[in-house]
Amino acid sequence: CGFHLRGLGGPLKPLPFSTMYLEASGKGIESDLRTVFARDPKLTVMSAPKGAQAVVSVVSENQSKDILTINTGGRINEYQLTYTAVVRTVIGGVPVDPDMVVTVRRSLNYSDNQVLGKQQEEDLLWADARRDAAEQVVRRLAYLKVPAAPLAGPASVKPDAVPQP
Amino acid sequence: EQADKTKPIEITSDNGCTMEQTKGVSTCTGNVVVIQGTLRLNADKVVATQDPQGNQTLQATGRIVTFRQKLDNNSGWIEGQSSKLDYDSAKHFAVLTGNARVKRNGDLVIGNVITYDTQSEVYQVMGGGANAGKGGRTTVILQPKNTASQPAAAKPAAGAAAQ
Amino acid sequence: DDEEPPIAVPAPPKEPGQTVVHADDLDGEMNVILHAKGNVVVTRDDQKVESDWLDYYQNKSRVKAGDRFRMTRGGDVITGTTLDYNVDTYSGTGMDPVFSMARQNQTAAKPAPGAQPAKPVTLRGDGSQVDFQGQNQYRVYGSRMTTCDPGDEAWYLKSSRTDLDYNAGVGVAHNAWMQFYGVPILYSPWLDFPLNSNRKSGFLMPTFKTGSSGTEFSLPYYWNIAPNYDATITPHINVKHGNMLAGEFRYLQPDYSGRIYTEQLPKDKLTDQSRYAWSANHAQNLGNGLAFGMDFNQVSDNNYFTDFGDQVAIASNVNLNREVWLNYARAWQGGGGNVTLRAQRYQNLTINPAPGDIPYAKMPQLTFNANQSLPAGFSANLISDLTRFDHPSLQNGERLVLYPSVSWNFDRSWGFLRPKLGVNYTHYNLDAFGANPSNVQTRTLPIFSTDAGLYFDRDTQFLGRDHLMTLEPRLFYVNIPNNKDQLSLPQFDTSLNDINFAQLFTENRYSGYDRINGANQITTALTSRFIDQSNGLERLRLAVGKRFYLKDDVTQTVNQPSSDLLLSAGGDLTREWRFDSSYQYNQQLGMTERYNAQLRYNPAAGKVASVRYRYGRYEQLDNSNNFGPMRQVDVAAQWPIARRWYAIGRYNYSFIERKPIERLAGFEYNDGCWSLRMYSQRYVTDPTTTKNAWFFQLELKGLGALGNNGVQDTLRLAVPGYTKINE
Repeated sequence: CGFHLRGLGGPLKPLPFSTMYLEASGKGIESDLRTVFARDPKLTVMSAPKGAQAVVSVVSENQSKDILTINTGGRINEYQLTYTAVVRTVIGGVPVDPDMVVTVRRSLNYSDNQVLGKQQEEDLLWADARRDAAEQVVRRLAYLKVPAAPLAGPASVKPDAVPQP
Repeated sequence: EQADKTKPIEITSDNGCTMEQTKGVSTCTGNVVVIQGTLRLNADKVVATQDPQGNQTLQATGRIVTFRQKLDNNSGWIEGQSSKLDYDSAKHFAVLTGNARVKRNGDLVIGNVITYDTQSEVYQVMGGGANAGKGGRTTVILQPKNTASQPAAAKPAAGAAAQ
Repeated sequence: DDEEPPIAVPAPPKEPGQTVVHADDLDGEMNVILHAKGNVVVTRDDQKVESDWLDYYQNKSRVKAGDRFRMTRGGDVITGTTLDYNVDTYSGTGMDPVFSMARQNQTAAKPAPGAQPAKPVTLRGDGSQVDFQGQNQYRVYGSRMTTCDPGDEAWYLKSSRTDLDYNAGVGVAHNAWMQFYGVPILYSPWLDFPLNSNRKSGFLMPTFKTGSSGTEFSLPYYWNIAPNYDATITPHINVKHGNMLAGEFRYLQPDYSGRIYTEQLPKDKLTDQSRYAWSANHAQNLGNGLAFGMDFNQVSDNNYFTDFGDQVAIASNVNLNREVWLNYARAWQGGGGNVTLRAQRYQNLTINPAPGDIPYAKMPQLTFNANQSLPAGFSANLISDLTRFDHPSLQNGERLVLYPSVSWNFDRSWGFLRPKLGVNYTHYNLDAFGANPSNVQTRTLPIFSTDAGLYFDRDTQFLGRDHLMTLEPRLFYVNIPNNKDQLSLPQFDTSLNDINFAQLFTENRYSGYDRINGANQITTALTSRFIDQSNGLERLRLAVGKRFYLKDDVTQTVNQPSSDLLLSAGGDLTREWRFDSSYQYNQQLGMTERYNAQLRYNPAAGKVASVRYRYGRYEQLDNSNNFGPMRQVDVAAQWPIARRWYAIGRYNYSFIERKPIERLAGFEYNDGCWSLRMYSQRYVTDPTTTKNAWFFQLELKGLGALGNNGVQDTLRLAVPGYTKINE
């Protein structure tokens, strides 16, 4: 029925760069991103921006927990957990606009008399949302429109532009 | 300076001067240069008269009449230009007419007619109405006072920068 | 003299501090005084004065101008009758001023975190007299001000005296009357408001609230102590409960920041007792990986939020967190670890709670988690937790949990395999409780799990565009040989997790460590995604999952051959349409356990409509532990109904009890320099009582909002996708 193992039967959509630096220190999604990047054998993640073809930086991440359902007793029955990450990519010193925004939602069934247990269940869902967001980020990176190579003029002489996070 | 009045007047000109002793009027034309003490005046035509009491009046005309004189107790120079200059030494009163300009230590006054009392330093500038030169407007440009007595002087510069 | 006469006496070069005067006629005495008459124009640096006549006292740098004057300073334009002004000190007085201040505030203090840059707003108005007090300060007597465009007389702020300080970015109006189309709608002895600055935004005007928690009138006073300290003191006059004082103190430093908030009501008219609320949080970075934090919330009595809170406050404040923690985190080559020491005790607000309603306190808790990657894809991780659990009426004791494990990671583009083996050692020191004396319990359980999955792709057409369709089968096998029922173990922080896709792929069906299920089970799941080939966005995701139990779990009283069946489908189908749904089939009873479906249409900002249906066979209906079926529909919309008019509405109805849970209706009107938001809300606070609340908010462009400020949160929650229309 036309299905093939990813990367074996048909071409795998390549990333528009082969070396990159990930700038996401202090961000929850960093380790998930590194795990997904590690799956691509043709990609090397550098330890410093110098010499990296592309710099991917997690500009911001946000976790908001909002009431989704209230029962007729006026108590919360479900929370909606919304994880959002904003990722900025600079390829060959030229930033790709607009920034990539990834949003992942999970719903958490809640009850007030299990507050300790529900706290850990919530952490489990946040971790799952971050893993999901990391996969979406890497997948969408492959579809980025690579900005035109910088003009041959003085601009290209510019040293490797390191974006300020 | 006030002392200039006591100095002899020396007038040189290309076409020389004609004297009429009875009325004490002498008229000189052609690049006339009048020097009296620190006062120096250039004009195309100068008519100088002296009355029996020794008061001199002077009328200089030309495409451009210019004069320059040192101020008392060395507080700088005064210079000016106009199409016509009338000066009465008794009343120490000068009238510059036509594109008149007077500059005193960097402060400049521009107008159609400028009257200036060299002793009291009182001046008046007339625009001369709409049809006069420059639309009948007068202008004064005052330099910032950078003398020590003016502490505020430094401040506006700073103020200006922070606009 | 048509052609230009020669210039023998050139004008001096332009330089700062130079004053240039143009006029029809001039006279004066050099260096002493200058009189200019007729269309006078004086310029000096960024100051310019135009007037009919003008006297300039040079030695005193003082300017007097008259009959009519017009002064421009930077972006500000002030006209009036007479002016007496010192050009050096930028100070003086102007009579009958009409002003328009359009300056950008260059010296705006550090913006509050997350505030966007200030939008330039022109403040225009008039007064009886204006005092210039330096380069960035004005004081206007008998002033009338607005931010509406000239000709738009919508509202004016009248006051006996207004101080505009563009350095601090704050304007203060004294004896202020707010006039709206000529009708005075509000008086206040003093009102301060922002001047383009990012400080605490919003016009701290009095707010007005009414509803079942009584009619309330509050007057905030913002105190701008220092660039990174500010305080807001707000007296509340509440007709039903009496006068309350609220205070908020915020501090923001490079290494630490925090907020302390309190509401104090010395004597409540109804209950005749003192009522208060405290909320303090603090976060501090102590350097090289060490961080300290505190989150403290306390109220005087269990009914506090029911009496004073809004819907969100009532629903979400059942357990008030009171927690202090110290955390040390360190990363090293190929791994990292962190240690946390925490003390936590909740304040429970349930009315006559059952023992189970009150959560255990952790006095204290020490956790140490670490992971280290090893060669050949292996990695070791450790979870450890030592906690002292206290409870007023249940079993107290200490618990130590050590859970070291080793896992192997095989990750390829086409699939992954992750076996993991660990041992969970748990040790309890239980205090004497009821009949049994203090005793020690231990439990040691080996845990083996393997996660495996494959990724299949194919190109396909979906919604008329090229998509990549994926098929992702996944297996998760867990084996925990456990034949003890653990009933003798207490339940400190354990609860049964609700089944969802994330929970299907965890080793333990319980959260917390007091219960570990005996397991020989295999979870199977299949996920399919439709990925837009133009930008990589996931348009639709379908998933089905189920867990098969090969052996009974000794910790369960009733065992089933397999778990409930889970189905889910959802995604951003197009830029405007979003669809979400999930379904859970109860294997044991052979009927539907839960399902919900949501559709949202959001073509543009300010235009959104959504409908959501939720069904649950056996849900918790309120806090007194009675359960039953739940069937709800939730319709919400924000939609423009006419030019400048927007309607907002929400209707959340429960079919089982046949009564609405929340109804909200209202409108928003935006007229350029002001916008009005008005709506009413009826919501359920417990099975028998419904409360209503009226919201009124008049927002004045550039100055902020009059009316209760909780408006935005309520709307954001009520109408998913709600956006403020005058943003």
